Amino acid sequence: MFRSKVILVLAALLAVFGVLEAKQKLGWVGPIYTELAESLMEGFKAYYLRTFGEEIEITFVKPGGWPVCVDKVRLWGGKPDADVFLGAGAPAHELLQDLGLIVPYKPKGWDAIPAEWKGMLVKDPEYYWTCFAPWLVTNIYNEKVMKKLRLPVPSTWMDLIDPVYRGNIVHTLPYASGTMHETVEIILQTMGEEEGWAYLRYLAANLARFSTGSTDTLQIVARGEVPIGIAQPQMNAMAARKDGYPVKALVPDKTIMVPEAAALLAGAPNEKNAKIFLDWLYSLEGQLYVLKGAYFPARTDISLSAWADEGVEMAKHALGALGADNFWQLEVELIEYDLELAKQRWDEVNRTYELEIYRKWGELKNTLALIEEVEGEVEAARAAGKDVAAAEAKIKEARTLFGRGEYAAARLLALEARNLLVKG
Amino acid sequence: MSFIQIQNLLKRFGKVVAVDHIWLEIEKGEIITLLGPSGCGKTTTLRCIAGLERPDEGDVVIDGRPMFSKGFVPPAKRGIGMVFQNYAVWPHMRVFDNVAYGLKLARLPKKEIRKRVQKTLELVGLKGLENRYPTQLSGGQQQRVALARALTRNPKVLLLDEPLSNLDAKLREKMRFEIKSLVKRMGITAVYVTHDQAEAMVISDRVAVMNQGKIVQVGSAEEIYHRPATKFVADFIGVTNFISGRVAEVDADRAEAVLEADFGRVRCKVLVPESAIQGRQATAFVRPEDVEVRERSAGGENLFRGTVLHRVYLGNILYLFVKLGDTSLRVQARATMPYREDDEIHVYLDPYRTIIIQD
Amino acid sequence: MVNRVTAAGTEGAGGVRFRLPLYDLSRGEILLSLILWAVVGLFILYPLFFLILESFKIAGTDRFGIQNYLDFFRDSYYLKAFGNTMLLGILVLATTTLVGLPAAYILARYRIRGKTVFTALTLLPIVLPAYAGAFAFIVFFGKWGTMNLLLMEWGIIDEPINFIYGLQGLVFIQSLHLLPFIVLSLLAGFTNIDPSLEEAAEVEGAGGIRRFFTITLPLATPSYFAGAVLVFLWPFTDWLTPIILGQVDYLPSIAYINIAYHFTDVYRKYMGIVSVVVAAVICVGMFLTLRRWIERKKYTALSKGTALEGRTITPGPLARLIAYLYMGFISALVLIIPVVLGLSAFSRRWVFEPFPTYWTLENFEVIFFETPQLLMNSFRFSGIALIFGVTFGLAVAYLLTRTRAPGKNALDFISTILLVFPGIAIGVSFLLAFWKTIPIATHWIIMPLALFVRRTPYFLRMAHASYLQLDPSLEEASEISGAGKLRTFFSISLPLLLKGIFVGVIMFFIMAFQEISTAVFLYRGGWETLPIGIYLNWHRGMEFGIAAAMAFFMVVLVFVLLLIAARIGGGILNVAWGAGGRRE
Repeated sequence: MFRSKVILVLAALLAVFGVLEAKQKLGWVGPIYTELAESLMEGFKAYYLRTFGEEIEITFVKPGGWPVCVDKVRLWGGKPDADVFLGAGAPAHELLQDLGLIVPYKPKGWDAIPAEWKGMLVKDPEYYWTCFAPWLVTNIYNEKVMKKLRLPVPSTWMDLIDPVYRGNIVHTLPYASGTMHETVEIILQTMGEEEGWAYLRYLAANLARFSTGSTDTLQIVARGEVPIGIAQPQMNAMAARKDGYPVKALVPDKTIMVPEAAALLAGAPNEKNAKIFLDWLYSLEGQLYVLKGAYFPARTDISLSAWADEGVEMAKHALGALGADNFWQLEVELIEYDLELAKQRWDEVNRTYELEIYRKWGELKNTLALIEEVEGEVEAARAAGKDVAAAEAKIKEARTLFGRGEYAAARLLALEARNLLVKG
Repeated sequence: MSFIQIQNLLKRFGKVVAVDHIWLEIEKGEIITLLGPSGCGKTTTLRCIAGLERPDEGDVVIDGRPMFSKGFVPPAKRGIGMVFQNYAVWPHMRVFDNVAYGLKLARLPKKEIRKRVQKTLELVGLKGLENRYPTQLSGGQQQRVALARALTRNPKVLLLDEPLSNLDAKLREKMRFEIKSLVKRMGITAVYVTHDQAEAMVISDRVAVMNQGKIVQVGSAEEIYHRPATKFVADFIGVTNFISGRVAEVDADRAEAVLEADFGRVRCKVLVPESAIQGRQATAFVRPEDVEVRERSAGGENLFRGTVLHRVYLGNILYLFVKLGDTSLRVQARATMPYREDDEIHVYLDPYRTIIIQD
Repeated sequence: MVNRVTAAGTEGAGGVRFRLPLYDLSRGEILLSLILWAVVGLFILYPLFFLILESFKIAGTDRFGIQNYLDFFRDSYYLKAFGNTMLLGILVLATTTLVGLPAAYILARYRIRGKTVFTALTLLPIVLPAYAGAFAFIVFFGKWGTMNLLLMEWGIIDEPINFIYGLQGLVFIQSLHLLPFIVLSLLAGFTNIDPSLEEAAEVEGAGGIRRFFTITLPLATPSYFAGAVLVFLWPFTDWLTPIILGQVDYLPSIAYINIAYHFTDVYRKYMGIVSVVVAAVICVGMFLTLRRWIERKKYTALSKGTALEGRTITPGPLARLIAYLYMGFISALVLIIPVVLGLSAFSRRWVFEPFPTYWTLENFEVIFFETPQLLMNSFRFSGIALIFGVTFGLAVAYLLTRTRAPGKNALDFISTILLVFPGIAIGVSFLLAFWKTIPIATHWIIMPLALFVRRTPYFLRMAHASYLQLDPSLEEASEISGAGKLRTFFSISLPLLLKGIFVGVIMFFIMAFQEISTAVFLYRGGWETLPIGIYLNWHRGMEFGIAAAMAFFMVVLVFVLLLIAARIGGGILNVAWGAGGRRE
């Protein structure tokens, strides 16, 4: 009798472990925001039930920004724990394609997505990936805090390195966020390597802190802990604003479009459902749920004002944020973005940023502070009518060295300039 | 005037009265023991003398100086040394530092400290163990460290709180004599707390028996043993027989009384007049060694016939439990006596040693 | 009967025994021992081996070597991070000690009203998840948090003060979280001191302060160090708090970032793993060294007094006032956590206002009804982990106290080490070990398994202590009456152990429920637990209200469980001692 009791307990334990298997399943992995995931889940579940008369269980894995998501898929090594890679721009998908982790699929609404826009690819001609929600790389700021701190709104990249913003900017590391990496590339490709790195150093000197990802940046700016956030997907400001945070997007003078795309994973365990989902995603219905998830829909035949008239709340917010009826009608200048180059030097850029800027952040800030201090002394001396030519030349050179990341040498020069002033 | 005066001392712990208005005078150079069962207030009294407790009423006067009523005198300023029940030897200090602690606090010169510590350690027999940690010492040695620490500042008064209770029987006996001779040699006044009557008798000049917060009797060992003032004292000290009955006669002149017990009339000594009031219930007590066994009845007072219930042979002593009526009397007989269980014998209660006490 | 006595050595009442040359174990005990070793081997040693192996891999090749370690120790950045972590450990230890010393003294010695409440509040952070505290402090002490807004409103400051972003904030938040460890260990130290040791010093002429520093404090030192080592090592294991505060130049945070964000850069991952191994080695090494030292210094053997509560003092009016103010201050700081979380939980988007103005139950609707999955996962995973933990803990405790099984001390040793083993190390090692060769990581069972390994000591120590108190003769009597070992365990030992292990059960559950460091590496879609939900909702989304509601729910749950444990376990202190790393 005693023995049978023990067996009973063991059996009960086993029962706890056994999970009921749902019939229909679908798995997503990707960096899309929770709000979009929830919206798509809601829409697709309803669609699935309506069309097939069956429930579908959807799991969504979002381990972090898109590089982290790609990593996760790499780790799964062809035996993915999901079916669709949902989200992220071209670089992520091209990488997955190179690794053989995604397979081509041409969803039904494919033709309604433009092939390219202002020189940038919107979908893969070989059907590996297709954009479902395009956006621009922007920056954001907290209106309320900017006003309280009496800071002007920076409209260009150069504005941002003005010392008045010191301690009021936040961004993440390029390896933690795809958007940040693209921002770094934008700077490097438009300003050239040398100028670009110098610029990034000045920008870093203005940072309050580094965040751990672009969503982290968003929440920091939304809470007002730091008023300006760099490298944000365009719809972030819209989403935050819709939630009542005084956040606004800043479309900088140089930017790119990111074709947030979806792709079918190689070895997807629920391939059939994945294909049904992708077909739906690019349909007008699917696109509506993209919008409801606070992203801009990608189909060319969409009119936000028409949806707004139909009472779609989110369409109004999108109209406000875009200032256009459809994303593709946006009036912006995009830079010429060299995707190949970006892909090639991916790790190198990340590593350089980490080693040269992030890890030397303290030294970087001290050096710039010293240079600025000596510059002030030079100005004062000039005002006092002294000959400051030699010192000025030195301090100029110090700035150049700072831009190259030779912080110690820059500090030395700044001190030499100071000495010259004292002697002179 | 006595060296230490305990005046009307009262100490409460919440609702419990630990020490109940006691008075006690202790002479210079005397060793006095506070004896009593646990919870009788003896340790609290000692701690009041030490200044570790503050009494609710009353005072302690040491060498003419009141300790409480004219401002609290802290323990260290009372000229006392104290040995705690669990030695309270600081485990994180070497023997030397334990003993030297108080001297260092008194800011004595280093040389002087060294000299005095050495001397005291020699006195207690711990020479050469200065650098040991207490954990490396035996219980007896730790005890000696505690003693040395208490003595090293040349106290006027030594307070000992059950210092031997954690030692084994043999060592305990040895230490009793050592402590006594040491204290006497140094001429210190000592207050010793114990629940062990044998210890009290060996070590002290006078014993104060305490019960329920009160001092019930103070006297020499002999007085306490042979002339207990109350039934409690009689019962607590040594082994004794109680005989209850009614007071039949009182002879005030000779200080004698006759107790009517169920097995006969017992003539007793009256020590406290209130003990014997004619017609009242009372109890007499007699020590086993004060009962004589007689083979045959010659007739006469205080001689009774009884039956041997049990026989307990202890080698040097033979105890016979004799049934007299409803009373069982413990009798100390010579070990050679041949009595067996169920034998009939006669016992004689010495009237001068059979004492009537109040119920 | 008499004749059998001599035979009892070889033929016990429990059935047939056979004799190994050295040990007499029943077949069941040998089996048990083997099973336990299999569990330890598979779930502790094997993953650990993988972790260490991985740290020797050379990026881009199939070779192994010490290159990663050389790089680590040559790289000034990692050295800086190492130094930062050390510094943080020292600062946190210094802060907790300075703040905790008076608190422990007041709680141990002063006879004041409300002592139980003060004790409970001071000790509360021990069971609150560290990240919950960090979030609460951002809301309260952030740039536009309650404190700054109030100060600006009152015109005391014009621009917000940076209270928490930086080393100072990290020290502050970690100190508050770790204060209970110091207070507890000092409290144990103070109350375990035989009062006569202090009285003897008083008689010898030592005044209050001198007595405290020459007698009380030195005697409490071994106990203090038992807590201090846990406090000092905390910065070597806590990767989350620095990250939340935007301070990442600390070993565990770097390890986390390197591993979680290594992307195409495998070298970064290996460096992350090296950081994990270095942090783990430091933790274990320090812990063992100190433990050895404490064992040597243990003074309790000397105190022969009966079970004493230690000395207590009735403070004078001034001392009492100071004591109240001091304990009130600490309690207020601790209370900020549940109060702020509560306020956030019942409001939405509480920002730029000192106190919320909009009240709602929405957040709770979300966590209870809309997405109850997280809650269910938390209960399910912690519950299953608890079953593992209790089974394993009781079995090990049995082996330790009732048998002479070879290697049982090693078993105990390994389980104890887990107390200071960084959660990140367990998470990463599980991920590495259970991916390809033994692919358990694809099944959700990996979650409770990891929680079980991580929190094992919390139950094991309680079970061990309970077993030590259980008189073996009670069990022997059962065996003589004819019951087998298993039956004896269920009908005699278990019911008698129940009260003792109950506190262990609750502590284990609380600690498993709030676990994040390990779980965050292993969870997959659908396996998110409440702590992960808090992290994701706050840090990676902007649902502060939902995150706060989850955290608040956890705080309430933990508090209720703690009350139950306190009621059963005989007071808050006994329970906390179970959690706080005191091991007799």
